[in-house]
Amino acid sequence: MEVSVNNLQKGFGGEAVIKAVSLTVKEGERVAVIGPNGSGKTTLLRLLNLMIFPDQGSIELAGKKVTGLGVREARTVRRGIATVYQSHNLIPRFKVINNVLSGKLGSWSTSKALFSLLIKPLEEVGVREVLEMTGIEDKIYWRTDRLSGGQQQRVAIARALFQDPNLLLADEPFASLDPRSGEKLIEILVGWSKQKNKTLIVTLHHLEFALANFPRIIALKNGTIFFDLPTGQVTPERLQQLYGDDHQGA
Amino acid sequence: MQKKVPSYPFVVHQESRYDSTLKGLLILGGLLILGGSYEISEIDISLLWSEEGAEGARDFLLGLYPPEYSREFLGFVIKPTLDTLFIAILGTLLGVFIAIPLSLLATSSLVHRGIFSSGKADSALKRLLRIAPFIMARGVLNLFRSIPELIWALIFVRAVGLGPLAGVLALGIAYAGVLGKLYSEILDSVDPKPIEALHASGASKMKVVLYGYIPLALPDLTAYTLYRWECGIRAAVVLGFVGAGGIGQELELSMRMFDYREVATLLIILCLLVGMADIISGWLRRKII
Amino acid sequence: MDIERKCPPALTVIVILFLITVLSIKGLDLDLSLLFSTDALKQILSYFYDLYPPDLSGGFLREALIASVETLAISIMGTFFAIIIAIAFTPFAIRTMSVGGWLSGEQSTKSSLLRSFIVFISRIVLNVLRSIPELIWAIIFILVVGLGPFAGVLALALHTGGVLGKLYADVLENVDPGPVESIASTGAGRMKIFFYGILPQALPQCLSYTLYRWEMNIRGAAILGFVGAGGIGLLFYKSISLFHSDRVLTLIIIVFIMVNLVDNLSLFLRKKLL
Repeated sequence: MEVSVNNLQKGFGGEAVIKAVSLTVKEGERVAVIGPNGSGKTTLLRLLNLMIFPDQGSIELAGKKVTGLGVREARTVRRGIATVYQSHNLIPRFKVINNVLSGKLGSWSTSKALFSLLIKPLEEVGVREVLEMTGIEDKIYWRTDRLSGGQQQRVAIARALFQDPNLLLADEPFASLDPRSGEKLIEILVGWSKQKNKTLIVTLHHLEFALANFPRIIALKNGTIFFDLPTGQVTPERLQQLYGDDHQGA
Repeated sequence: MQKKVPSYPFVVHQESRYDSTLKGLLILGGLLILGGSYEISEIDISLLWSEEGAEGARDFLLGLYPPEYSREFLGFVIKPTLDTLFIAILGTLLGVFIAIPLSLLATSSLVHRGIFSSGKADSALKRLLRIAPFIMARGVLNLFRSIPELIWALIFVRAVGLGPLAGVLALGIAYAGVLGKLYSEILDSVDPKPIEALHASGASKMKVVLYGYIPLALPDLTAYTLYRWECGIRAAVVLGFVGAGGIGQELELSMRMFDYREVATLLIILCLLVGMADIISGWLRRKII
Repeated sequence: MDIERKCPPALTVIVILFLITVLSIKGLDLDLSLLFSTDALKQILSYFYDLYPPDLSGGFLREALIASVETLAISIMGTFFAIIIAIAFTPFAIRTMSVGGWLSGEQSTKSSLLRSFIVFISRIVLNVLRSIPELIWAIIFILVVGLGPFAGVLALALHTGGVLGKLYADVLENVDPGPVESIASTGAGRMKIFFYGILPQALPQCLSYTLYRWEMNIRGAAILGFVGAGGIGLLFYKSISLFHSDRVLTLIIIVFIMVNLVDNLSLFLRKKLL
């Protein structure tokens, strides 16, 4: 899905968080969004998956304007966008399969959702497939809160993949994991994007991950685009300028 | 002249003085209210030790022993005991059924918060249409909750006649009010992050409730419902006094006949019933985490 | 894991609840068709319809207002005495304090057995107080002190005393042991440990729950009049029995206002106190 953002502005309580951001991400492209805390990364992602709406400017997804939609239309657009969060945001009491299935709720009827929840989980084959991709197929019937933090994040990614989105957004998905598990998970996301030629936009805290896995880096600072470059052109000086003195090198 | 005083401690000082004045007023008002209440409720502790009072108490207490344990009476009270239990169960379940839709309408995070709204600004009429069910649901719950179940029972006895149905309906209405308010408070306090995740994948409100709100809140919802069922047993006994069946009706009869031995048995059964409900619901609560 | 998979708990719970419902309906011999027949519905609706308009004549309003002030007074005094009863029982009903807990030194097996016994008995008494509804206590106390609001006060006091006593004991038992131990380790006496270590931790919850019980007692006091223990309940009973439907509506409105006033006052106080 092609993402095109034009002169986007968003503020909370009078304070501008995103100021005049414009960018285009092509179909199948993989982009890392970096920047210091409070630079507006999370807000940008929430604008892209239509959880919040811009004060000004427009967003086009796959060539279609998605700002100013009604509730139902916005919901339909969201079905094509999957989001992975920093804290996995799963339901702790659910079995893994139900959490993964909840990714498809948008396209299910209410009676199907009810049946799957109360009588018997549906579409087990598809769930096994995505769990296999994220490497925890054996935990399909475990209660989610019995898994470790890294395993739960794998379930969250499986849920996002199960949604079969055209655009996958991830908001610092590995910030609360140790670097090694983070690395494995990022490979899963990148592999999925390459294989299916789907767009992937990830905000990242770890610069090494961004530089090693993404061909394009967008840096946000104070709600504006600080730089937007192919990874090869990102120099240490630029990063120094981006983070100022307080940056410790990830 | 004084130097510039830092503003922070100054403000705190002001506030604490204001607080202590308020506290003093509250205590004074409280004492006045207590004194007034003492007068109005015609309290006369000496009555408890007066000859008449002591006699009444003695007659009653001595009359309790030994509890009526004839096989005939024990066999007879099985049915009313079960009836009380059934009224409590059905009343609570009816309350739950009425409370669920009303509490969903009355949950402010389902109505007010932005995640279910679109980017478009709503017209005034649309906003009213969205808020009106919320306000009405809160009002209905408040009405159900404010009127004691015994008064509901009296009304339903008039409306559907004597018998357990009136008790079930009364309990159902009163507990719908209590549970509905609790449910909406519990649903309002669930972790918003999984809710946002579900919503971001394009799930509709109903499905977010099914896959988000309810499983997140389930332990609290069950715990409070079970606690209400415990209260419901006591309430079901009381409802019997106005003709809604069960052990309360027998208790009223035995009291009126001054048959205190039967009263003793019935009171023992009541305590056992409540104690048993306490144990069962405690066990179930530990099961559902 | 396989068992979990074959037998989803949600379904089991639904089936069990359904069976319990059916069993209860059968057990009570309920004729549910009554509820769904148009005649019965008409009868119910016409009853509610007849309530309107409320009786707002000066004489009755005055009577009702006096009765509601009495109801308020009963609820306040009932809660007040309940607190006294609860406080009197609490020290005997706390396990950690009496059995080898912070407030006791080293003890012989015999005395600790005695203490366990005291706790056991206190808990049973509290449970009995709590299990018997206020209306039944009211009937009992009418035998002792005669008809009138005093019997109502005593009834509320005993039932609520049982509830609060158990609650106070539970809250005091479950305080965070850290602060308590740090005070005990300074060699403070029992009283000091209690007033500086245990009570401050437990007080907000106890106060808040006591106010909540007061809210419940205003509803309780509103029905005590059914058996002659004072308050607005007597008017209710009379009006319903004598088919004064318009008066019933007036009383419902008054109780509704009164209960909401008390709820909001108690909410305000709880916020102030915490």
